[in-house]
Amino acid sequence: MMRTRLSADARASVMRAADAEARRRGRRRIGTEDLLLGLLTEPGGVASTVLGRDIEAARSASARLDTRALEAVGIRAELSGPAPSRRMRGRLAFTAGARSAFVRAVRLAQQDHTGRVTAAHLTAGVLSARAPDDAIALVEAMGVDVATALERATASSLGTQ
Amino acid sequence: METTDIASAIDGDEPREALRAVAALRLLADQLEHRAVLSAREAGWSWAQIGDALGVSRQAIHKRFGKEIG
Repeated sequence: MMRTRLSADARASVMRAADAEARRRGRRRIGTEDLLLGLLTEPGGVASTVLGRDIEAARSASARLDTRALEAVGIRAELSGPAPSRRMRGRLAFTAGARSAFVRAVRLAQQDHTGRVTAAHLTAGVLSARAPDDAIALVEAMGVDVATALERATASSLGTQ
Repeated sequence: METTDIASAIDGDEPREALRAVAALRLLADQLEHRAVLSAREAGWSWAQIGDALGVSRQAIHKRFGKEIG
């Protein structure tokens, strides 16, 4: 079996960032939206480049989705700031959707010579989810075309290491 | 303040919106609870009084906020 590792540092920083985003949003698991937000915390990283948006734009769009969802059930309220910290030790588990995105990233990496999972593979893995998916909804809420962003991420994963 | 029949608000809407609203409400409730407990402690409420008001045990509320709020 081919080795499919994210370089240790890159993996740790993406997972740490995704975990922090999930906690910030009061989630108990890391979902695709958190993975995408985590990938966007790297300034000038692959995710920011292919989406043309930064982490602040993504967090605002995420908050707008929350506000809109609350309005849809007749509640007018705005969430302000991060969730109060809960004592949940260790790394949060992945949702089913996040696991699938990760599996897709690994498959993409296997098509490369190195077999190493990069941020580009992860970005492509997240962007290739099928609706309904929180990450896809977030990308759309930022006014970005998902198919175009996915193309760019895939090209980037094949073109660079 | 206007009131909304939540059941009718959900009917016919995409379930995705309703599900996201549930998650957002949990976050909203957590934030509100955090502020309410903080302000109650500042006003001199005991952990037992706060627990009673929230319908949970004194221990449960102290365990969650005791370390941070004191």
